[in-house]
Amino acid sequence: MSSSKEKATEKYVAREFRKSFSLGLFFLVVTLILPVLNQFAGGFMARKLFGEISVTYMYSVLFIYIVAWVITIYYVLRTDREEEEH
Amino acid sequence: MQQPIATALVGVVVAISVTVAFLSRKFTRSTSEFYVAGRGISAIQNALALSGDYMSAASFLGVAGLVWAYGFDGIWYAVGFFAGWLVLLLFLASPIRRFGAYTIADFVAGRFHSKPLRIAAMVGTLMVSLFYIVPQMVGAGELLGLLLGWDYVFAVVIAGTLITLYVVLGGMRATTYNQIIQCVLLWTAMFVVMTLALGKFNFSYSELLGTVSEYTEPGRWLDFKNSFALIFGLVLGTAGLPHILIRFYTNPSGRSARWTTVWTLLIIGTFYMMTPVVGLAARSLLGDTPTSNNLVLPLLAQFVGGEWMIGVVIAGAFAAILSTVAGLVIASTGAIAHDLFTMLVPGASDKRQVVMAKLTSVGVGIIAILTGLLFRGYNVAFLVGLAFAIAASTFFPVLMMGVWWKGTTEKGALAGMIVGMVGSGVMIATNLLNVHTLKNPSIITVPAAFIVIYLVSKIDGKTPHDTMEFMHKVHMPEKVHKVESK
Repeated sequence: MSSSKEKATEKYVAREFRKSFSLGLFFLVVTLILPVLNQFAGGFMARKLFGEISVTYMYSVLFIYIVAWVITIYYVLRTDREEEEH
Repeated sequence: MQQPIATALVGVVVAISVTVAFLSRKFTRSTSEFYVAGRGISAIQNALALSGDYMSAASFLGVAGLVWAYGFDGIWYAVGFFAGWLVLLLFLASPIRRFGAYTIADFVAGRFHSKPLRIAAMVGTLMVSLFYIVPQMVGAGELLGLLLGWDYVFAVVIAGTLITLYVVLGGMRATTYNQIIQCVLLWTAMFVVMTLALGKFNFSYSELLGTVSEYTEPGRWLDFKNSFALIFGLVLGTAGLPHILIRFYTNPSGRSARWTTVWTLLIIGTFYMMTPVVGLAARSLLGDTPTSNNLVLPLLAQFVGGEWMIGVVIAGAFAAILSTVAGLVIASTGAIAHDLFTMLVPGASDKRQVVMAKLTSVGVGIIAILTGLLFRGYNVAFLVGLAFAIAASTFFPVLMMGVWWKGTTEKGALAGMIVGMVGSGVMIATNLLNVHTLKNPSIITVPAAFIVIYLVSKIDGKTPHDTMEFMHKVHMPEKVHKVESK
């Protein structure tokens, strides 16, 4: 492989990794913080938001899903666009 | 209990599965057709098939059962099963497809040119698949045994034989079409049960939660350490499941693989959002009536919708089991008939490899039946959780490092894979023997595998000569490859 092609590949891989890693890390924090909050901020997480629906319940059955879908759509559209431009 | 409508609906599922397999039989003449359906499955088709493949008995029966039994702590499973797909999308879906092989062992062997790694990946695939097959077969036996009055042994044998038949007849293409149909059936069944159950609470989620408020807070089953470890294992385990990863090979391109994951996230996301409603409604409406948490959903269906509804749910659960085990049979078959056979008999003709694949599928089907009989009575979702732990520890670190770090060496990858596989196996066994209380070991074994890969690779320093060609192949867009090939 020529050195210019190698450099281009390295640059591309590094850019892709930064994108995936930042989004992945953000989502892992959003997900893994749930048991942490339940443990260390139990009072707040048990507070009722709507009727009988608590913060922790809303977080686990709705919020995590919405965050994942938003990240998914953002990532795929951005990657599609970047691949087109490349 | 005898259920004539349910029996008839299960019969319809069986008839459809066999018909699809029969019509697809001409598509198993080459290894490419048998293992990856000629790489011609579109993004939406593959998303439906992946969802059918992924939403197993553990998802369909197990999660609702765990929510019924333990309340909020059962919801961890729904969150974990779903969240893992994003990790898969961000880090592995496109590169794996662009590599364009048949099995996970192909991928690691292609990256590191290593026979020992191929063997380790093959063993890992079989280990994960076996852990995953057992609860499906147990689910089939319990469900059909208790609800249709079938003998447990007869039910397991029927399910195993049917799956083997349609994999052997129709390979990946029949498996894909069946998984699509089965996905639609089981998603619809869950939706209808949820709607009918919510109807009992005036379609008010809040009213439902008010009737079971003590079940909506965490801590009934898992302590902090175990709930954190469980989520961690499920999230990373999805990205290491061989039967899921190989489905990405059936896409025509890396872009298509990404869109497959988008659709899959929508399908399974909406599915897992329904499971807590169903589990908590069962707690509220059925109390302690169910004798097994695997049977909560069918019993709730009967309570809210009568005989027709329980029929739909049993058919849906049967479809979930068929679709998942078929995917696992294909993955295991690839590990033996492709990875091992082509290593032992290099240069074997394509026709001979297909014959070997079909014979292996029969062997794997027999093993599935036998393990289903051996592990009767085990908790379905818990066992699947363990399969995720092994997958997360064995495959996720080596795939991540192999795909994203050019400094990974053969020795590093092998050492990491062995540490992950053996470590997770030992920790699961020692937990079952009450040596320690950590139910899901991946929180220890995944970081350990990553560290070992890094350290051994640094010490070894001998990266494969074509690492950058590999990186170029799996990361660069198809457009670049097309321009270069002209």
